[in-house]
Amino acid sequence: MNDFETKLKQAMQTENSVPDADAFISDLHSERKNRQSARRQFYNGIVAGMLILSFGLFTVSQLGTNPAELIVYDSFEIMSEEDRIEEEFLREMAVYYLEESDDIWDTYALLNDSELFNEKWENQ
Amino acid sequence: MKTDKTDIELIQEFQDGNEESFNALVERHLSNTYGFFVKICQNEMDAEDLAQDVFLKMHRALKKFRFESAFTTYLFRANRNMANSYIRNKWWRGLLNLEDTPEKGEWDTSHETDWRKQELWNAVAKLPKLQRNVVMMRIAQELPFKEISAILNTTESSAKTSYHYAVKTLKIWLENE
Repeated sequence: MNDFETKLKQAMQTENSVPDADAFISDLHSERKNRQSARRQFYNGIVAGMLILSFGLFTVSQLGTNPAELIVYDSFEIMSEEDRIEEEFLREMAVYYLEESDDIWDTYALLNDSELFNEKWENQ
Repeated sequence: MKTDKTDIELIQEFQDGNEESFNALVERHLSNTYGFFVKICQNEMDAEDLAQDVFLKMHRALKKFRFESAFTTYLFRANRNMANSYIRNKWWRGLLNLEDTPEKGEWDTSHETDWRKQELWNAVAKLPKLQRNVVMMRIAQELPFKEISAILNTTESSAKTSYHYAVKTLKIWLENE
């Protein structure tokens, strides 16, 4: 056993020169500063990310509704408003024709010929 | 930067904000720490990196040092932990063939001693944790069993027994290869 232990110790023997202490200490402090600044950058990145995320969440909550839904809702509103104007226009035109003409069928024929009237019925 | 102050005095001064005291502490223990890692790594560059990592940890840890044990015990524990993770890492790299290990037929006889050292550390890496730690401290750092038992928080007889079993196991493994 003792022989083997001696062999082990001999195998471990190394001839090494100790590094220059001043250079080692200087490298140590520059590495420490590098790591400190890397750590600071990492934490700043996390804080910035959290701020952006919380700002985004706050903005969305202020809108109250999903923006996508708002767009769809608005387009329906515009379409129904157009329909209302068209219907009103047709109604006024019909009344005008009825007043100006003696024959109801002439009024119907005129309305039937109008492009707007046809479009309206085709869509429905 | 040589000083007659004790480790405790230097640590107290460092805790009061004196960076020069920390530098003096590094200078005092550099040779021992570096020598330990050279034996473990068989590579001066790796040894310097490990020693740097240990002292970087010390720089942070010493600010909260409570003087419950001697600084050398504290430093040896840090060295042991660093060496353990290095050996484990090296063992895994060897297992995954990430190291540039030559084929047996391609051995260069001029590097035979280095190669045997590598074999020896691979075998040490396979030992149970307590045995591995005792071997590292006894062979690489040449510490007395009393100090080893203090570092490992165990009894002196347990350290001796672990060392005995470790050497016996290494003998079987290395001589049968």
